[in-house]
Amino acid sequence: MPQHDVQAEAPASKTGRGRDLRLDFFRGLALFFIFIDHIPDNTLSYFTLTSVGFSDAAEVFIFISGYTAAMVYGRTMLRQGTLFAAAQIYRRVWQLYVAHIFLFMIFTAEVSYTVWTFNNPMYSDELRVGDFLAQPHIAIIKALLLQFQPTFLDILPLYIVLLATFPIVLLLLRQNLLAALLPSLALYVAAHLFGLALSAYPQDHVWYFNPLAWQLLFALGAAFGFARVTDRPVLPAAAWPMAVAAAIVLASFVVKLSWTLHGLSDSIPALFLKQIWPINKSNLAPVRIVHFLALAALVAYLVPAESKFLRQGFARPIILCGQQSLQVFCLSILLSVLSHFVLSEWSDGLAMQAAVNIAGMALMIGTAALITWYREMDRGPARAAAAMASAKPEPPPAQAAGPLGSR
Amino acid sequence: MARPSPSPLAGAVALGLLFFAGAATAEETQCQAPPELLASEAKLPRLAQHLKERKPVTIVAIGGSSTAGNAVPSPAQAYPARLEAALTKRYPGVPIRVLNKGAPHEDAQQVLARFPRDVVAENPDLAIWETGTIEAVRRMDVESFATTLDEGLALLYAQHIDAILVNMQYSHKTAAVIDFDPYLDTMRRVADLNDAYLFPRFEIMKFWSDNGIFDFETVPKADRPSLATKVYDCLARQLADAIAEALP
Repeated sequence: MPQHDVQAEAPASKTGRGRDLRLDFFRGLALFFIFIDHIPDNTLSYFTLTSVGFSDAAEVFIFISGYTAAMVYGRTMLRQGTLFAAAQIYRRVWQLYVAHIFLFMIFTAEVSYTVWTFNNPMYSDELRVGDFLAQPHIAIIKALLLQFQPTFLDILPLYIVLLATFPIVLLLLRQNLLAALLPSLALYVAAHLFGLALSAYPQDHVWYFNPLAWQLLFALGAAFGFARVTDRPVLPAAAWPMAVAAAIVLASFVVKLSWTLHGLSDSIPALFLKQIWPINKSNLAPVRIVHFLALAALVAYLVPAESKFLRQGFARPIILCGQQSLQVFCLSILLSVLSHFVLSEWSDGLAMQAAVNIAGMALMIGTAALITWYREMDRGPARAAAAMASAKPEPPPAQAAGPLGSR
Repeated sequence: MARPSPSPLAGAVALGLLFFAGAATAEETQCQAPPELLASEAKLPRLAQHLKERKPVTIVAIGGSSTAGNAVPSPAQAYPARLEAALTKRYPGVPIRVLNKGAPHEDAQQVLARFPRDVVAENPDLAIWETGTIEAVRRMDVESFATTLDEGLALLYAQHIDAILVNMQYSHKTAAVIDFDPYLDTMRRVADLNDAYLFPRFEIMKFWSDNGIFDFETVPKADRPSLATKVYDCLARQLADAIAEALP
C-alpha cells in the first residue's frame, strides 16, 4: 500500500476545515459490524445493526464511502480540475483491485486445500464449492475480471465499480445535485423493473451486490458529501422530517427485533414476516434504503459533529479504523474467513467466539494504528513521535455542521 | 444471522445418551439427537390418516446426492430405503414405500422442475425435500431460493401432499468454506411461514460431530462407505422419530 498522503480521507490540516469525526466513527463501527456479521453462527451478530434494522453495515459503509469520496475528490476537482481528480480516483481503484486479488488468493488456497484433502463422497454436492479448480485457466481470468466473486469477496468489486464510475458522478454533481441523482435513481428503478444485473462466473450467475442498484446509495452519499464541500444545504431545517425518520427507525427496530427473537424462540411472533420477508439485499430493496436514510438522518441529527464522545478514549480505536477504512476493511474480510475456519475447525463455544471476536477487533485496531503511524512517519519523524506518544484526536473543528448535521 | 449454539442442556443430553449407549442393541449405531431439535408444531395430516386407516403409504424422497446415496455401495443403504425400513418397523401391518428421487448437483429450481413427474405423478402422502446445498455452495440468491421453496410447498399442498423440508449436511470442513447460514435461515423461515416441518439435518449432524458421536473429518478412505451407511441409517431413524412426532 502506498504510504503517501493519497488517501480519500485527507486530513483536516490539508483542507483547512475541521474533519467530521462522525464519518470516521460510524464507518469504523460499520467495519466492526461487517467483521462480526461475516462470521457465520456468531452470537455477537445479535448485537449489530442487522438484528434491529432492515439495512445493515453494508449500507453504512457504502453511503459513508460515497460521502467522503465526494468530499475529498470533489475538493480536488474544484481546485485542480476533473482530470486530476479522476487520476486520484483511479489510483484508489487500483489499490482496491490489488487488495481484492490478494483476498482471492487466500480464499482459493483455503478452498483448494479443503477440497483436495477432505474429498469425502458423502459431501459430493458440498465439494462442488471447488468446481472452479477443474478449470483454473478460466476461473483465474474471471477473478481478474471481477466476475468470479467467492464467499465474502463481493463488496470490494462493488466498491471498485462504484469508484471507477465516480468521475462521471462528480462531473454531474458539479452541474447540480439533481443532474447526478436523477440518472442514478433512473438506473436503480430500471435495475428493479427490468431485472438488470452484471453477469458473473460461473455461467448464469450475477454479482451478489448489484452495482446498478447499489450505485444509488453511493450517489446519495456523494450528493450529501459534495453539498458539504460547496456549502449548499440539502435538507430543510424543519423538524417533521426527523419525526418521520424516527418513526421509520423505531418501526423497523420493533419488526426486525421480533424476527431476531422469533429465531430464538417460536413463542415470540415475527411481526409482518409474511408481508415483508424476504428483503432483497442484492438489489438493495427500497425498504433497506428507506430504513438506512432514516437512520442516517436521525443519527446525524442526534449526534452533532462536535459531540464530546467522539473525542473520548473509547471512540479513538473505532475512529482510527474508520480513517484507514480500505486496509481495515480488507483485513476484516480476511479475519472473518479465518475466524469462521477457527470456529468450525476447533470449537464454536461462547468462550471461543468471544476470543475470536476480541482478537479480530484488536487486530483491526492495531493495524489501523500501525498504518496511521506509518503515514505520520512519512510526513516527518517528529509528527510520528507525537502520534505515537499522544495518540490523541485532532482539536475540535471550528465549524463542522454539515448538511446532515445542521440543526 | 446466527443460530444459538448447542446449549449446555444438549451436552447433558448427549452425555446421558452415551451412558445408555452400552445397553442398546449391538448392530444399531447409537445416534440419538436431543429431542428439542426434532420438536415442531407442524403436522402431517394426510400421512397420519393413512397410517391410522392402515392404507398403503407412499413417500417420495427428492433431493441431491445425499438423497440418491452416492456415497454408499447401493441405494438400499441410502437414507430413503433406511427410512422405509424404520417406518415399516414402527408401523407394522401398513405397507410403506419410500421412493428415491435423488439426483446429484441440482439446485432447488431444477428439482422443482422435476416435481410434476417425480412427485405429483406418484401421488404420495408425503414428500421429503432435501435442498439448499447447491444454493449455499454456489451462493445463489437467497430471495429466489425462498420463492422456489414457497412454490414447491404450494404445489405439494395444492395436491394435498404433506411436506417435510430437509436442510443441509454438516461437517467442520465444508462449514469452514461454505456459508450455510443464510440458506439455513431461509429454510427455517419458509418452513415456519408455510407450517411445514423442517428436519434439521444440519443441526443434528453438527450435534453428532460436536459430541464425538461421529467424526466426519478424519475418516480413512476405506471406511468412508461404512461411515456414510451408518450416518444415513441414523438420519433415517431420526426422521422416522420426527415423522411420528408430527402425527396429530
